Amino acid sequence: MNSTYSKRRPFWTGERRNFALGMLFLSPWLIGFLIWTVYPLLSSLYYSFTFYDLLRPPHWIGLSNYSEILTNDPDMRTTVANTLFYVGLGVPINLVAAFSMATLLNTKIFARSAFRAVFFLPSIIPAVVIAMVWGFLLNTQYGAINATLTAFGLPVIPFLSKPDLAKPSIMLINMWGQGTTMVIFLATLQDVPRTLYEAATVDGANAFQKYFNITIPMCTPVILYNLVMGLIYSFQDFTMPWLLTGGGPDRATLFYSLYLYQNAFIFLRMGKASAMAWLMFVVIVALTIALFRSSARWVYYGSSND
Amino acid sequence: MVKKLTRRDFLKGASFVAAGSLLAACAPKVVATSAVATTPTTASQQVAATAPAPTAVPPAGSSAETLEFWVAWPQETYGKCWDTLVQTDEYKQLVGGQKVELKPGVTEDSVLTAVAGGTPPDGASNVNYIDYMARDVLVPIDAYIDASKVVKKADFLDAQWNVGSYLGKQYGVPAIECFVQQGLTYNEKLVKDAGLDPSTPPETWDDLYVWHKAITKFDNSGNVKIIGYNPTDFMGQTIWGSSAWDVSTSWGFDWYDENTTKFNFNNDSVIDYLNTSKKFVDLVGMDKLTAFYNVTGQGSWGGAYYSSTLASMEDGYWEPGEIHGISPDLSAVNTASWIPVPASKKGTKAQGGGGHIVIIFKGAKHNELMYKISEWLTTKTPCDVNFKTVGWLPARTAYLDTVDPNTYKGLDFFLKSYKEATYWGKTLKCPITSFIGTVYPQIREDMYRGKTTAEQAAADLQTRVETELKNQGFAK
Repeated sequence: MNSTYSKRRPFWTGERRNFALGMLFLSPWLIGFLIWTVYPLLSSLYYSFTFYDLLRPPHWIGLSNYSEILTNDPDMRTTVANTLFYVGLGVPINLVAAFSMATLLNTKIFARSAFRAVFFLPSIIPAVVIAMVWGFLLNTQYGAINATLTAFGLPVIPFLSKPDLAKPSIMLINMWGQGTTMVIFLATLQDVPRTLYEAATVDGANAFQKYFNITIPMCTPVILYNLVMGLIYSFQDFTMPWLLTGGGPDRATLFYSLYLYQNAFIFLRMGKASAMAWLMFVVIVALTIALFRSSARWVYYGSSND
Repeated sequence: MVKKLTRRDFLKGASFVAAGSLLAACAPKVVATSAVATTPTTASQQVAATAPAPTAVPPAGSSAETLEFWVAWPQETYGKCWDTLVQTDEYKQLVGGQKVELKPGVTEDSVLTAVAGGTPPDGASNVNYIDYMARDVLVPIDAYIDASKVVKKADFLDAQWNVGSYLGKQYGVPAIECFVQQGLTYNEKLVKDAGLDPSTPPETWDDLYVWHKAITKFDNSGNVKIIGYNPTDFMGQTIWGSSAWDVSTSWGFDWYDENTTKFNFNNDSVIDYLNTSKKFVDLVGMDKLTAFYNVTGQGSWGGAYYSSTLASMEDGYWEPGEIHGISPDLSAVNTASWIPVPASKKGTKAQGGGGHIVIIFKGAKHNELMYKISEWLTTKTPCDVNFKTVGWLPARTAYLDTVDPNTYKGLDFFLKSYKEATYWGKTLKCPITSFIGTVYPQIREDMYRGKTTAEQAAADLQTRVETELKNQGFAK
């Protein structure tokens, strides 16, 4: 008589075991990610629908925070306008400055390596140090820049004390610190195939034509990357304006991130601040998607073998 | 077949151990239950019957959790005082074997975070008291005071005692640094150099403007070098609501009612103040004033006065003592007088309450001992140490009567002012003081820069604060 015994499959098959082992080795990072990133994210989403002052338990108020931010906050208009000015002008200026510096540093000049190091250095200096140094340099009364102007009999420039000049001054400081972006552009410039320039030379193109018809188009993928990163960074910029001007003078540098901080930790409106954070997230995501969608029209993804 | 330990088995076992250790480390702490208080004073025995549940006071040499006392003053001021206090026999007898740690230089953010995270310090001082009072995270100490043989309300100046009271409950004893808050501190040398008589200080805002105009100087580049008086440099340009606001004291009105939660900003006094103060600012120019305070050091509390670039400022009694420590040269020419008042109130001697208390947080481990320490801090030994080290004074009238007014130049005014004052500005506790302290300077600056009128600014401030109070759920 034949046995009708059926062999049971063990639970821990090779595939399941491998998966479990993989998850186990991933667990330290995974636990950290869940605790320090996902949990705070979800908490802030929850808080954005509550009234929460940090000192008492949050209580549910639905969309009130969002409604207040969008319709009933007199300072929101000022902060949004300041931020859009800062991002709208600052990001393109930074990109142009970084690309220009990279272009210059890609030419054959004496002590090119030293220049590259010098231009990169500002991006590795701590933000607090930068704020202190520039705060001194731009000081109207005793700053080095105004002292030089005074020595030549020129009027002083109230960089950080005049509302109209405070934002451009902070943008100037940011432009000075574009070393990392410059290095990324430099690497891309060096990757542009020489054969394209040779072909252009044969066709009679001059330097400007080569620059605008070969160099820039070949760098557009990296330009897109730096544009997106610059946008994200600029929307969230807090350190420099907080340290240099504290939102003044006359709310000229009261950016969205500063106002968010004020709501969270000074006014004790953590719920409203959380809502502000999520609104900023939505705006940044929307802009990023729009940029990527538009990239089909202006970003060239041709391979280097073309 | 002999089963060998493979590399895979070893790694599997090690991973399980690591994961288990991680989970064990994340387990919540077991909260120690409190024992019966054993503080060796008769007052504590009386408190036990009526006060909040007492916490353990471990015997000498025990290893109970450290009592944490957080203060915003830096190590250089109160830290130094504390280092002396902990050497005294009184202190050692008070705390027994309990480990107590003073944490100086704390920021508001760190206190907020600790309270929000469920690990508040036992006590704190020089923080935004009203933020905590209004949100019910403090221990009311009425029962402790009723049973205390050290602290009685009648022993303290009313205006200072009032700092710790909110909606009928007392949340802190005035301690450490809590004397009168308002005087016109001025530099006799700068006044004399401007051709004025320092022995006849201004009584009204018009008189003060005359001083301001004579003293204010510019350099060849048009930068302001010396300012006579800056109305925005009051209480270190910090949130003014923590003590009697200079406007409300000078003009004689209350800007907020704790019981009805009604604001009173849109009134003629505020409009008059804004117009008056704008004259002072216009003489210098708002851009130049901002640039002046951007200079390193000049923007800090009292910094411009200490560097003799500001000839006068409204500030409290602590200045004579602190200036003595900062700059003996300045101390030699420093003096003080009554704050200016509107011409219609000429002759009014206005003074303001305020100062500091020691608050005790709910959920902390050593409520009772923290209270004992706070009341001890109002007694003679700690007051002597504070006064000799940094020039700070308590709100105990009996102690004030023993202080030599000539210890620091300018102190004599403050010591006579609390007896001679004819009007006392109240310390008004508003739950959104931090919001007002941020928004008010912005609205005021708009007005100084000509974007709005004084009337619009006053109305705007009234609307903004009413809306915020309602949004935060405190409006009645």
